[in-house]
Amino acid sequence: MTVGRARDILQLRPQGLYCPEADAFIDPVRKVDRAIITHGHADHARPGHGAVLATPATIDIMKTRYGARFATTAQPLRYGEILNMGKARIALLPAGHVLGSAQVLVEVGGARIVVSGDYKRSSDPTCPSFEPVACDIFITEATFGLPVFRHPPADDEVGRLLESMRLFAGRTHHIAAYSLGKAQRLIALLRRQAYDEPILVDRATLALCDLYASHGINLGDVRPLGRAGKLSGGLIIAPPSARDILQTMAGPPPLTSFASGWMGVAKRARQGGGDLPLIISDHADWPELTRTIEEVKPGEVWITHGEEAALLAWARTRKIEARPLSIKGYGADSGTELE
Amino acid sequence: MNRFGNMLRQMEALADRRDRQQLLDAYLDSLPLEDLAAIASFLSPNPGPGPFPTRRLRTMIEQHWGKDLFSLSHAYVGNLAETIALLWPTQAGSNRPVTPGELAQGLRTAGQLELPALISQWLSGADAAGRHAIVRVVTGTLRQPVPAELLAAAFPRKGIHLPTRPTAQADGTQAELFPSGTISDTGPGETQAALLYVERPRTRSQGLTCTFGLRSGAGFVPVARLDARGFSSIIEAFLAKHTTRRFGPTYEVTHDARTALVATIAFAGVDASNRNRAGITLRAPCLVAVTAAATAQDADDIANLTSRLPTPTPRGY
Repeated sequence: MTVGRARDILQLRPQGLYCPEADAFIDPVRKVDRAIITHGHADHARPGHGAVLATPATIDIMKTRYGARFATTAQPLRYGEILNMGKARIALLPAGHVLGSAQVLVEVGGARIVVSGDYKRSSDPTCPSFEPVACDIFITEATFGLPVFRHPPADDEVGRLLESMRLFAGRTHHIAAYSLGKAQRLIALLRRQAYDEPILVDRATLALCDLYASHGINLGDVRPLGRAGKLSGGLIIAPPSARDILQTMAGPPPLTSFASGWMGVAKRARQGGGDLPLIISDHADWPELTRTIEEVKPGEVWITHGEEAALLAWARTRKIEARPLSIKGYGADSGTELE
Repeated sequence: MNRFGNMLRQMEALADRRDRQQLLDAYLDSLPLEDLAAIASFLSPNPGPGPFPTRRLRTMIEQHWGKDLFSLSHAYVGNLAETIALLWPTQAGSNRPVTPGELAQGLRTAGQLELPALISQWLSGADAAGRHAIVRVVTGTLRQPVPAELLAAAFPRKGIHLPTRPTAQADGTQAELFPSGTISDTGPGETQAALLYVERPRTRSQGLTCTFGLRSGAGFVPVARLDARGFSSIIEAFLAKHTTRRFGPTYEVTHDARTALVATIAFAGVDASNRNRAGITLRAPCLVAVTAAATAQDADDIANLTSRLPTPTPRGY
């Protein structure tokens, strides 16, 4: 059975998932000599590795966030291209999470394992869609691995934001959203619903918006928040910490909104949803997780970072071999707040 | 019910009272009359028990997902009505979302045998916020989701006197406007009740929740649980001095011959109820005044209210 051989392709080490044949770690949580990076979020893409292999967009994102010397060397690999590393064949496939995000396919002697990284299946105008690929072992994330998580269409939630801006006209809306991915997706969705006013963002988000634009994703009029001075309506997308500064600015007090998949549960929304909790997530919800596992039809599923128990119970009822894989360090800080 | 559910969802999130008022006003302004009447009945501070028990919905949803997935979900979400709403299976495009007016009429006219299928159909056609609202309405667990003071400001503007201000309901408009029948046979009145327990709110949007009781024999029976917005400084001061026991966020306070906090509670009517220890429920109770310089003897006896009830008609005549 190839599943048996696929089990030997990756090992769990303190630094993260290690592939001995390629002599490389996937999304290591510590500095290593050779790293394959699925996407640019800080808990997956850390600075200071020796050699980094990632999609061109992810390499650009790491450069933008950490500076040109984020690693000793960086090798871009386009979606679908195959790279031989030792006896391992490596390919990166779209994961639909954020710009540049990839699943990592590792094939050794005909046995295949796919590391999903973070992914989603719902539409996102800022990155290519997840591509299911046949494999022996599929390692899936499970951030929203409970059947209570069914994210509504993101367009509906953006509609709620626009409705709030109409109702509270003249009040600035501050959306606390992750500076990579969530912010740009929100802006793109707003533009799709014909919102064409300038959108103010913090410096880190602005740099990433420029990067998205250079990758062909037009986000319209996005301006730095820095010299806003006075609040008089409109939209600001900036980290939660910006809230304190905004409260001190002249003008009507801003309304704060959090955009996250966690906002679908009242308890979580009360803990930090602000005035307008928006359920917008870049992670697969329960129907997407189960549908993906059914489509990929792996011999075995390994379930990591998130709510494994329910997905394991579900897999049992479907006679799908499944086991938890606990990798420490992912989503630990960002997952609870903003993904 | 989707728009109602989403309004409730945002009502809970908005920090500023004026913003909440603006949200409520805009929502009510957008409603046709039949929905307005239904919403008034749903938001009535004492809507009474719902026609459908939560445990039956729980059984239905538990059978769908299996015990494991249900209990993991319930443990995560914490609240049963919300868990049911989040887990309810939907069929995209299968049903038009039910309106508040249709829901109120359905609850009024459907027979017990038709109810499960009807509620199931309503839930399948709604979004998550709408389902949460539907579950809470049909099970009678939608308890004061909107503070009484916001309702009191919003409804009269619409020409409706929601029974949060019992004195304002002499104009008789309610009989037509409240489908679930918020006019009580016994009529409005006031009672003096002692503060028994105080519960601290989980969010900024709620005031202290206070349980008030009337004298019954040598002790007290609870008659009303109310949001004490507007009286919080007096109650906080009383709490600081006269807490006798504490259970998590709930405080038990002194109510004896020397010390008690006594409130004037206005109500729209009194109904017999075998669900409450007091044997009665107050319709649309509303906190009117509070005094901390009182004693247990200043509170009314429960007999004052039970005597208002009509003589029960013998069953099976």
